[in-house]
Amino acid sequence: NGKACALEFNILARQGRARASVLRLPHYDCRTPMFMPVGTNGSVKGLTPQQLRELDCHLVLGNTYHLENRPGADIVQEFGGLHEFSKWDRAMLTDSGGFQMVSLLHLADITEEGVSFQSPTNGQSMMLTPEHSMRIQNKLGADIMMALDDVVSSVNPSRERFEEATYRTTRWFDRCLSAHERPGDQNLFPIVQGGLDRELRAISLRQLMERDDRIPGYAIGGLAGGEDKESFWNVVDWCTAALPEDKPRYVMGIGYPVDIVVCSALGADMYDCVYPTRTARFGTALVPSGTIRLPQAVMEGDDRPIDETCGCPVCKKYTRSMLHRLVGTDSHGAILVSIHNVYYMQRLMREIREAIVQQKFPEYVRRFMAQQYPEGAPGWVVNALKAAEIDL
Amino acid sequence: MAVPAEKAVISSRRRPQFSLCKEDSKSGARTGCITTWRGATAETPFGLVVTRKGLPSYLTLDNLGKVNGVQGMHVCASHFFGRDALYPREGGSLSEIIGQEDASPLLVLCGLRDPACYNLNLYPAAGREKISVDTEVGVKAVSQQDYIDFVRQAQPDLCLSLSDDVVGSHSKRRRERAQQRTAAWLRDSVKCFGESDGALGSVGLIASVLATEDGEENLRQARSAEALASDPSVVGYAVMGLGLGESEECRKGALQSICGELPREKLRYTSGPNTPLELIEAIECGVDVLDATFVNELTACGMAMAFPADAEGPAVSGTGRGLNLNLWSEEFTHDQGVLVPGCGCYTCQNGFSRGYIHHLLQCRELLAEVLLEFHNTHHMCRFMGTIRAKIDEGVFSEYAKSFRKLYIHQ
Ligand SMILES: [Zn+2]
Ligand SMILES: [Zn+2]
Repeated sequence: NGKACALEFNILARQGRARASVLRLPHYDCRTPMFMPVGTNGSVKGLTPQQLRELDCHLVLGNTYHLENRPGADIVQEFGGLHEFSKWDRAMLTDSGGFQMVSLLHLADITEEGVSFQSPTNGQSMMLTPEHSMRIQNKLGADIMMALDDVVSSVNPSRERFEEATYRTTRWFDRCLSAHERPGDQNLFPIVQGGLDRELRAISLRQLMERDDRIPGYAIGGLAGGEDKESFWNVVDWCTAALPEDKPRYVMGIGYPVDIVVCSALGADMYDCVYPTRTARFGTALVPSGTIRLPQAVMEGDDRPIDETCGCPVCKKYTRSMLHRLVGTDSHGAILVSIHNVYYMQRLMREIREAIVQQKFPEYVRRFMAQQYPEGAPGWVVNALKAAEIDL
Repeated sequence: MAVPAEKAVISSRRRPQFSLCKEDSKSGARTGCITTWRGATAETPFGLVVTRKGLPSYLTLDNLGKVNGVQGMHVCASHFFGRDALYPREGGSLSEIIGQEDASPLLVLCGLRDPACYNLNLYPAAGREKISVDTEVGVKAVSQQDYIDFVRQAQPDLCLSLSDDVVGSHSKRRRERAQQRTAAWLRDSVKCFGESDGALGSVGLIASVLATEDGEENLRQARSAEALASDPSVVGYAVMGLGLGESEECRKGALQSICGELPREKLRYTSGPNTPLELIEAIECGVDVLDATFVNELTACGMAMAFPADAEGPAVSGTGRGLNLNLWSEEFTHDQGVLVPGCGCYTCQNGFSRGYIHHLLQCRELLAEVLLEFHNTHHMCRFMGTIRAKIDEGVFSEYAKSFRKLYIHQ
């Protein structure tokens, strides 16, 4: 198969810089803007594939580093790939494994060859190279794979390090491209790097876009690492403004509802974050005004659902009081709050898509921000939306 | 909120009815049927899904609804302690609070003793009238009145009268007092239910009889409980005090002698069969409703039931390694097969493999327990279905014998 990519991207509607599209992947026709729940080890927090489908999830993300550790890509391949292994029939995406290594393993060291690290199981020195990452991801068989990038914390003070990482990310992408063995049924996305530096981001964008005919979609990396919000939206703004119109754009690691609305206004299409499911485990539920903490004492005796406007199966059945009694002590509680939070995210994405299609997106954004920030939105949100041609 | 119109509705509700269908000629086993005013029906004998705070351990109610053959849940009142009192105090009934719909076909049985984790009388000195209960918010002393108030609010289909379950190691005097207290609470419950303003009118009282090692005493207790059989509020009897480490003979003897004294046409429940074998034995003694606590226990330790649950009892692949599969075992790493080939549960029907469940357990992913609870609950229900069919066909004793042989041989 000589095809360079295995997806179709059709923009259904545009308003300002925002777009609503169909992303046709080998396993599913996803609607964007889209939120992708993280299923680190091949499952999402106790939810069955059927429940995930009913919650309107189009794509689930798997973590290459974790899956290679357990059970190992060879075993997943034996079972017929990650889809067959986990019985998830819609789309999947795997990351390169590099980010987890750098963030989880203190001993990771990055050289031109790849990321070297000590195995957490036997202490042996190992190396994740672009070729190795591709080999693992080809075995996992997700619809979208991520190229290994040189990850630098966005708050690292050294410009030289960022410069090195920017160029190396491109070189590694070339190595990933040549190592990729299944271009006909798996899509390889490169990651735009360059830290918070406009010039470096421009270099990264230019270099990658020189390879545009071999690129099915782009990711914007190096964010969600503790940078200030003004820098965050600026980077997204520079990248989405420069990237080709006809390719999907994925902002990595973004999952706060406000950030998703802002990025979508700036023309981004895909997001992933552990936040909605991880926070559910500790009893934090997402609501239009932000979050509520179910473990708090005030929840006892509160007979309202988590969110009166929510149509999820949990809000239809359970009071905050009942959930208060379950979270923290019973697995059932963690599963229920995860269901609500995943539903909340998917509903948010549906509303964003519908607003764009109905050409009511600015109104939607204003209503959303008024709920989140009754006292007025913070400066960075106002500025970002202004750049997206939306006045609050 | 209780408005007068609702009270009128409540008083028009009837208590659950039990009807006996078929009695086995060679053992005490029998089949029957429970129907409630809500339209819930349950064929006996069956195993209750044991809940935490009114919910299955891992299956959300939509998932529980996907398990064929589930007929009822055991809800433990001790899971409903708030900081200062038993919950629910006002507002919704238990069904509303746990999210069960009125039209739900599941029967709810409620008691104070936790079938999954012994919680009574662990701390003495609750006072003559009260019983000490271990709860999430500490040890509480509960009176008969507290418990009845909970039942009135919770509106289960069936409720056990309080029993003073004490472990055998207690002194003879303490055990005698336990008998007296259980009998007194029963008399008091019958009175409460009889005088009910309607709020207890649809709850069937299950009269608790405390089993002991003393056969004479068991008979005496059973007879005095039997005298209440004509009371319309008493829908059935519970043999309590078992499942507390007593010997097999002691357990069987108590069940046999007590069930033998109880009126045939009333429902019988017992606490604590810990294995499918004990479950079969209790049914042979004439028990109709049991707690399927072993489902929760197996699921919690990563095990899948694989003993033959069908009539013919064909050995499934994997049972050579035991009656249950331990999915933690490395031997399943590459196993692409489902838990039990041909099993109709959500997990097996959708092709989730032993290898995938093994992987999820290793990663401490909750979905492992969810998938196992689907299978184990289904397997238990299938087993109960087989037992009912064997009783109806009049060949239960033979089935029990061959099952016992197979089970012990494994
Ligand atoms: Zn909800
Ligand atoms: Zn099964």
